[in-house]
Amino acid sequence: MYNSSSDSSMAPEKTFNLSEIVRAHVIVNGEQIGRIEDLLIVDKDKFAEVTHIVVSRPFGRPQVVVPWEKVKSFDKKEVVLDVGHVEDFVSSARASAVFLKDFVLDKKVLDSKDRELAVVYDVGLTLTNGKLIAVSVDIGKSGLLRRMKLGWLAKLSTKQGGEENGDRVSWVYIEPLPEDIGSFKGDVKLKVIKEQLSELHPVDLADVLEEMSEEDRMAIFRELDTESASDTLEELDPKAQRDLIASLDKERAAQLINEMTPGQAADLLSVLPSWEAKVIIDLIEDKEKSAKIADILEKQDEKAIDFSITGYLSFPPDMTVEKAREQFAEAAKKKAAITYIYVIDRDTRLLGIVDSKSLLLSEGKSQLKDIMTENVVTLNPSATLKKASELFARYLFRALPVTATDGKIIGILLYRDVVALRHRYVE
Amino acid sequence: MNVLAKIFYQLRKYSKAFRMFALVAGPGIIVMVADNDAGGITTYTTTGAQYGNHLLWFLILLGPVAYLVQEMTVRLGAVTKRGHAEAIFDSFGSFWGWFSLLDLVLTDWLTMITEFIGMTAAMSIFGIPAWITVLACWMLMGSMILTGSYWTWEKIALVICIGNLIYIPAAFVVHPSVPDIIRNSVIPNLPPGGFTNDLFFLLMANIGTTIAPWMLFFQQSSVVDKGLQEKDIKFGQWDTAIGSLLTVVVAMFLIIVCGKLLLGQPIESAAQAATMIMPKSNYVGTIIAIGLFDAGFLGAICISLASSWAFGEIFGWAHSLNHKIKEAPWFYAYYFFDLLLAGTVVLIPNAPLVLITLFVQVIATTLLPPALVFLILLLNNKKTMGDLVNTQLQNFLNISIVVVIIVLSTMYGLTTLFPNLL
Amino acid sequence: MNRIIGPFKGFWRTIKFIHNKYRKPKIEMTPFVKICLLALRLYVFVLIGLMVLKFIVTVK
Repeated sequence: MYNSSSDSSMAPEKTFNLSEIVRAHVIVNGEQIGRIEDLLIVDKDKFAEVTHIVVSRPFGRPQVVVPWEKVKSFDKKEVVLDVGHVEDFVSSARASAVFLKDFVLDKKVLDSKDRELAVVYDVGLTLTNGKLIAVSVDIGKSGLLRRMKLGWLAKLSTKQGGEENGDRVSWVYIEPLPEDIGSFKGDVKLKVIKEQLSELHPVDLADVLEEMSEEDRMAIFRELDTESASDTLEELDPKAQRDLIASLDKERAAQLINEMTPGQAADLLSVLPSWEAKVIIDLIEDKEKSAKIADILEKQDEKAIDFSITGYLSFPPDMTVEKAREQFAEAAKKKAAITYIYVIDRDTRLLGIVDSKSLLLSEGKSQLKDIMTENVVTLNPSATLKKASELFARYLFRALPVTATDGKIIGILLYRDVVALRHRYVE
Repeated sequence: MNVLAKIFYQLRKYSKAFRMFALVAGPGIIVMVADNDAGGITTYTTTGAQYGNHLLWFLILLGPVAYLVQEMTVRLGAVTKRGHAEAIFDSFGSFWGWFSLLDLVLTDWLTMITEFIGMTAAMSIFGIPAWITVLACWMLMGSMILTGSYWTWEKIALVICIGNLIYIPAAFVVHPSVPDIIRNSVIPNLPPGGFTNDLFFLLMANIGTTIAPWMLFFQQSSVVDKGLQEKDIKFGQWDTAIGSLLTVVVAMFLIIVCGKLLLGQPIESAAQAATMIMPKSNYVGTIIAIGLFDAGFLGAICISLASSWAFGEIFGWAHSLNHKIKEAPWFYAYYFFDLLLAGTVVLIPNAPLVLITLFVQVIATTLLPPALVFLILLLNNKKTMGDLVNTQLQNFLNISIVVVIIVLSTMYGLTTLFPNLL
Repeated sequence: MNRIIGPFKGFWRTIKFIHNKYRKPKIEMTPFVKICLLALRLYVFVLIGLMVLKFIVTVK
């Protein structure tokens, strides 16, 4: 039996690529009996669970198919089985079984419109709570390079090009495998179209994750890159959030929270036991942010400013509309609020607001100061959340700037943060 | 999908297909190469010496014929999971069952003797006395099955099959006329002298060595012993196709060598041909002798296994190479009995070996037609074969082949019995 | 005596058992199959007859 209590040190989980574990040595009673040939899976729609491992043996001895329960330890290099008599597991029972390597690896990946996207270069597996589950397929160039034994090239290119996680498609987005899938038959079909692949919405993913058992959810979550993991984490219900954070290591949790606005972060951390929240807050890189989060969490201050962020767009007043349009895309990157452009002078005093719609509609030659709204509704630093919420309700703005008494902009407060936090101040 | 992905996809698909093929391959290649046994080698050297390259086209024609006939046993074995002898007993009743079994046993014994004759003759060229050759063969053949696994047996047999390819380099040594080879391979033609008794005998001998009853029994039983499933049939067919290609290529190269070096000289056996070539080219002579030994060895193990399997199936003995000797004593006992019997007969001084060879041909004529007809009937039985029954094209081709072979081999049998008939 | 005949008796019994086990052909007896089997039977008998004839002629 897979003993999860004694192996809890290796929990929460390990991740593997299928191509790495195929051919791993299989050990029984300290003796190598063969190598991993394949994995039998049960496709459970959101992920696929490994039920048996197929072991090929040398000298033409028939292969053995061992249930996953008999696996004592599992690693890239070595798999230890706890079986009495190996010959009892000799089997060619291929009837309805799905072989992960034989049937899925190297198959074509189609999108929901049956367009050929790529090839399954690899399958991401996660070992969690004593279960091995297939959670994603690798369809990117780095997977291809790795399979062609050019992994170093992939590493080189990722160093230059940043993250490569977009190449993995979560199993959630894979249609149930076709019934007649075989060694040469059947393709892997996605539930989405090609164009959506890069922008699968976190809300959808969160909905899916909420339906899953804890360990499965964890496994899939593992596969997401930091940004979408962070977005997805926000969208989960509190219980799911708590479970998930609890099983993540703290550095990772801090990383994800670092991506969020203080309001969201505080909201998320508020579902955790306070000591745990504290540990995570201490690990957050952005000290200013962590202070804000701590403030909100301690509820000493319900000041709007604690929820404010600094990721806003600002341009000088004498910039032409044309120029602003050109620079918009570049400037908008990584900014949380891009509905409004804040027009500020050299001392960061707020002069006015241009909303992005009017930027598009205005004459190219005119300057920003000509088209901006000068009479800006602002919050002062001591304004409470309640006040902010009233203003939002009255004006239906998406965001409100927070300014000091001298008119300098300190940050902006997002409507979505206030809405999400309504339970805090309504009573 | 970009070009790189497409290439990768295709590459992986083919390499996977090849790996799966490599797992399934074996029975077809072995049976086809084994049918170039000692008798076959003798037939080819005689053909080459007598008619040069003139009959190459006929040999090429025999390749597809062998494939079409043997391919049926792959499907039959993979679908029914039982050997040929059992299939005949079960489907056609005791009379045909006993007839086929006894006939098979008899022809196998006699053919086995010819294999041992070939092996001892080949080794005697190197000055090795017959009794040493026979003893060495017994020991080698015995050790092949000691591990008690079909896999080991098959791999050793495949290595011996590679030995059969030794004639190919020989042809490059003798520098034959390539245009002549190509012309005679592509255009069917009668050799100078027209259609004679001798030519008919030689053509029949070539058919006889390419399609033999033991081959049907052997391949079906080995397909079953290997555990081929219906999904493996495609690969089994490739296996058979490659085997039939090999058998034809080997035969052609041998004929080319003998046509170049021995044209016009009367040859009675491959060993004699090797001795005659020795003074002209030591190298080629040695190759022919080694090839002859190799062919006899491969033929002997396959043929004795064919009847061992048949007996096992009918008498209900454990009958698989995957059993240890203790687990399937009768199966292995018969295997050795065959080997010992044939070896001993060869060692008897003044045994009527030529008469035996003739007798083989006649007996084989009585077995071949029923065996082929049974095969066609079995392959048309929808109840057992399901979707894998013969297609109309397969039936057309196979029935034509069977009819032609029956007519020719009957004539052959009769003319052997009554030489003045033709 | 029994020690010699014994195993053969067993062998004979086995043969009989097999013979009875496969007494009835299992293949569906369509007219085509019937004709084929009949023709084969004739063929084999004629051929064996000829072989016997040859043997008698040679011995004489």
